[in-house]
Amino acid sequence: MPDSLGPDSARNFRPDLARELEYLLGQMPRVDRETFQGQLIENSDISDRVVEAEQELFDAYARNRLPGEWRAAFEERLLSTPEGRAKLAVAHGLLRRSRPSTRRRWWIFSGLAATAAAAVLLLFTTCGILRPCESTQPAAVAIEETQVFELAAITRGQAQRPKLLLVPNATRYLELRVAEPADSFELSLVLDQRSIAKAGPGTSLRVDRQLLEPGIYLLTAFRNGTASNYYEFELVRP
Amino acid sequence: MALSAPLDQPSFDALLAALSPDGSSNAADAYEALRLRLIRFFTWEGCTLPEDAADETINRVAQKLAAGEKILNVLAYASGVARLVAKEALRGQSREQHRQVLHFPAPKPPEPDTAEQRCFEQSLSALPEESRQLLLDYYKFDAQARIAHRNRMAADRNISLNSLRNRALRLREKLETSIRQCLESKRRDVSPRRDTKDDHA
Repeated sequence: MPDSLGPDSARNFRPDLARELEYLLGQMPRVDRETFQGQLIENSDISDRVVEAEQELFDAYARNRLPGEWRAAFEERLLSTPEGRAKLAVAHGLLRRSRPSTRRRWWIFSGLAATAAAAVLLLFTTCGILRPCESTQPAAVAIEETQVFELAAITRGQAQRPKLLLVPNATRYLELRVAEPADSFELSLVLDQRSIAKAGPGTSLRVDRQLLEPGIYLLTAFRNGTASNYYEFELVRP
Repeated sequence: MALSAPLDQPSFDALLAALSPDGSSNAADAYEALRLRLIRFFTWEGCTLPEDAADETINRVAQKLAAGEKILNVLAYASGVARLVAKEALRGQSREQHRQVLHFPAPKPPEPDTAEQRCFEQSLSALPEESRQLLLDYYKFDAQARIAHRNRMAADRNISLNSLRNRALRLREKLETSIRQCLESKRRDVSPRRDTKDDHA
């Protein structure tokens, strides 16, 4: 995972808990470690801070936002035990509970949100490209942090795949809409042969932004279990 | 790890007295807090049986006190004993047990209806409503958004950020313990029953 994505960088990862993170990941010099071990046994505040750092690591791992250089140490030191498995189950559970359910995402997308999404889509269309122009950013905030893109199927002789630019910070969800008017598509989004999200039947797929990283994605539309259209795009961050 | 004799009443009384020498604080609370910190320490150090190691540490400290050893700072003494117990425990664990390197695939949300998910929902629903809400609210978002959100939560409840954090940490630890027990019981349920033929042979 690239380090340039803010929270995914080790340097930017809770700098207020740097010492605790160093301890947990086994990166503290031996002398410092011995002193710190004594402190965390004697002092509840320090022990609590290590727990907090540990929880941040598990949450980041569950969200796929753990800095790459920490992954091996984290898996070896903290995850490879029954306690680690239970902690990861909590991190996944809390993450799942903090998101709307897939069904809710699909079917309770009503009234104001739908209208606002349409407004944003119109703004994108006005720009004539598949990325929001500068003026659309406030609109993206207003639609419950959903950023909408409409995709055209890959055609023969297509010069290049479209680039989708994520609005920074404000976006929580990315909604991909396929151009074909149909109500019987099953949609599957894949990055590097890894399944990211599935939805349907319908013509749109909504994904939590935190599941997305820059890269080339393939969205496949299935009709009656058979792939009927492909939509490829590159997701980029500003 | 060489186990000392089980804790007897005089040793336990000596430990409680040392944890609250002037009687101003609750010795039982101090004991529980020390045991919790020790369990955490042994977990982070990679001991496979952190509760046992914590109890062994407490036993050794208590027996020294009961034997009349003059210990000025019982917590500092306990931390020295704990480091020794950790070294012994880790030495005793096989290499595989100590740092069993498992190669995990890239993390992704678990498939619906996995044992982890069922145990999470079961353990979460066992919490009182107010605790459940606090927990779910506290761990929303990530990074900077999370910090700002927690500040708002503390302000809304009119408590310090530290108090809020402590409550959330404890609740989450409780949830983790409950899930671990749930996963262990599910594992036992699916394990084949031990054949009793040997007993009859």
